Amino acid sequence: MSSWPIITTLVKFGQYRRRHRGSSIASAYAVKLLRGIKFEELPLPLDIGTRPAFAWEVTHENTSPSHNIKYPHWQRQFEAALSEGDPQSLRQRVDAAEAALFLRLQALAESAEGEQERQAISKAIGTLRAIQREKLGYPEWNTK
Amino acid sequence: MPAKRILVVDDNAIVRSLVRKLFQSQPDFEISAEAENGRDALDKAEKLKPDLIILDLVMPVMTGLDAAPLLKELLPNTPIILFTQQEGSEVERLARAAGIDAVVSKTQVASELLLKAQTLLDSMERQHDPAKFRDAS
Repeated sequence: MSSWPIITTLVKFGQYRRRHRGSSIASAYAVKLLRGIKFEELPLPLDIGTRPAFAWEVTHENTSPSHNIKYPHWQRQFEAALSEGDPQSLRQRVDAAEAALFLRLQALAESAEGEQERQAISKAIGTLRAIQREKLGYPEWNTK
Repeated sequence: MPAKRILVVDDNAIVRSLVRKLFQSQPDFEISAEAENGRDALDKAEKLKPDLIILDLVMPVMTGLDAAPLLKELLPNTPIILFTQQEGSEVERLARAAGIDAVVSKTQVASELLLKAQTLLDSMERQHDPAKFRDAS
């Protein structure tokens, strides 16, 4: 999908906001104008690639035809993180899985469907948090 | 009016890149720096004095919740948005206790982050320079 309509909308919003700084109309207009913009529709930096390529190099490394992929947007990246044995690569795998989950959540953000997938994502995030804590030494965030 | 300078703090480089892209599409904003954990954020905030901080929760070295009170101590007038995949009332409660101004879930559409940033900055400006908003209201 081309991201230019999104960028045009964002620029238009910026111009409008400057003209109507402080006005409550601006906020209402902003909500209307910006509603529905998702991260996955934004152009990604060149070193990351476009959205389809964002399915990672992992996709090409782990393409067993017999493998049952229920959630193609993130499952391979997640499983790659789970099965990574090299501590040097683990952080990259976890980051890749986390980013894939983030983008998928964005795609599902305004959809009434996908409840089952949301639950699966929630569990996957929990698992990644455990890996970050136990294998990557991340501190606990909810100890207070 | 100079663009508002934002410090983006997230351990995930891809998420930082996406947030950068989102704000760079707006003429009112510029990303002044990125940091990959709470400690790094403190160093960069002290040097750069950003207008807004977007802070992840789960990060190595120092979490967002541990960094937030220190950032507030350093820059009391700089709003902080916790941008996180963790959801729920417990996160909200801990965020408020840490001095965080708003929580935006990573499950929400990107525009929510932009709108929250604008609302907080407008509110901060209104508090410190009410005359600027007198004509508009």
